[in-house]
Amino acid sequence: MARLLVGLYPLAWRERYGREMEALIEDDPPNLGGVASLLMGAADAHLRPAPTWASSIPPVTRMRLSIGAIFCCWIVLSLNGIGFQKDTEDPDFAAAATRHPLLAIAHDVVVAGALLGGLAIAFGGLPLLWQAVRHALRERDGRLMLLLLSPALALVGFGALSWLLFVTAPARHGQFPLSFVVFLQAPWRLAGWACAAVCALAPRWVLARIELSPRALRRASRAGAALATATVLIAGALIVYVCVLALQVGKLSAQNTAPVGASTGAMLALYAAMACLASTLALTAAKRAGRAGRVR
Amino acid sequence: MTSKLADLGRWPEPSLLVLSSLAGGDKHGYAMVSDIEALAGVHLGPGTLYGALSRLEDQGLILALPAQGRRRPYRITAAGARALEEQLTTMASVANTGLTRLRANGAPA
Repeated sequence: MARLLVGLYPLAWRERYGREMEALIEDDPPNLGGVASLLMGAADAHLRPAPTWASSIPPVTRMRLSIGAIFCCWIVLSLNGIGFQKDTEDPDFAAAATRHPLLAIAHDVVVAGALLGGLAIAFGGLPLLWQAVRHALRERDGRLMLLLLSPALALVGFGALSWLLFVTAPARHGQFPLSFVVFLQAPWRLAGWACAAVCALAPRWVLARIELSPRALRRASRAGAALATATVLIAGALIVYVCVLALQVGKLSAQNTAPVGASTGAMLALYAAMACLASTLALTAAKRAGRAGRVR
Repeated sequence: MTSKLADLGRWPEPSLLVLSSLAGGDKHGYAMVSDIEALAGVHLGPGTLYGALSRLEDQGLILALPAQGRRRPYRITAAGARALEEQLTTMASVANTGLTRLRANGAPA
């Protein structure tokens, strides 16, 4: 547990203070307030690194870690985007967008952000992926190959569970039996989170295992800046969408067709909040990667 | 607040407690937490403590000593002692003035 909590801190921080903090946590196990202090401390360390420990990591390593973090944020955002798409696929939302131009614009900005992100991934991420695959095949690195395949495996597993849910779900909206919720719907949501975690963390794990040329890193850093910009666009658009929907199309915002859970408006607000968090982290990481790239 | 402690952003109060604790001698993390709880009745979480230690070390107000196993003691520096004295003197002055006024005018009804 101690290592898990300390693991939230940046690598450079852990190298400087990690062992001491683990010792403290073992001597004085944190209560809820202590865990909160760890979470806030980790966020503070990521957002405002102190020069004394931040400079101990070589620039190349800092770039690599920052680029991995940006990809991680992008994947979290993409999964939010899938949720957003799913929750607004009802024709009523398209009809609402024709009556409320801001809704249409916000939706289009989300799509534009997704396209920008996709292009950035193609420009900066695919070459890295290709380098990783070549490295894994050349070195016969089974663990690296497993890391490369892990998102696909996680998605296949989650897809299979989703199919199972679909074929066994009672054909109705709302009022699902408790047994369905407990034995299928809840595990499905947990599996979704686990799948999302694997997809988000895989690029970071892969980048930590392979040697990358400075040229590839700089290219990826530029792509990372574009990705971070895309996350900001999407986060901003989601905020506008949620606000307009709540204020002007309250009926749609308040509808709830899920077996257990909040209204559509509440779910969209959650996606917007997560997008804001992801874009803040992505921007911070992009700034660090850019700064590290300028160090000779 | 002194400019040194003011630079510590969201950490000034824990930093003050850490400096006060170290003014009594070198201590590692757990010893600091226990001492601060005894002197101020505040239990610092590990994240708060190490956030303060990181900032104080960055400002040159404390010094990390060689580790003893997994535990590393810290020592207040001369600059840290000066910053602490300045801050506590200001706080004592405010406390004395406030108490004097309360006794002179009586507490409001």
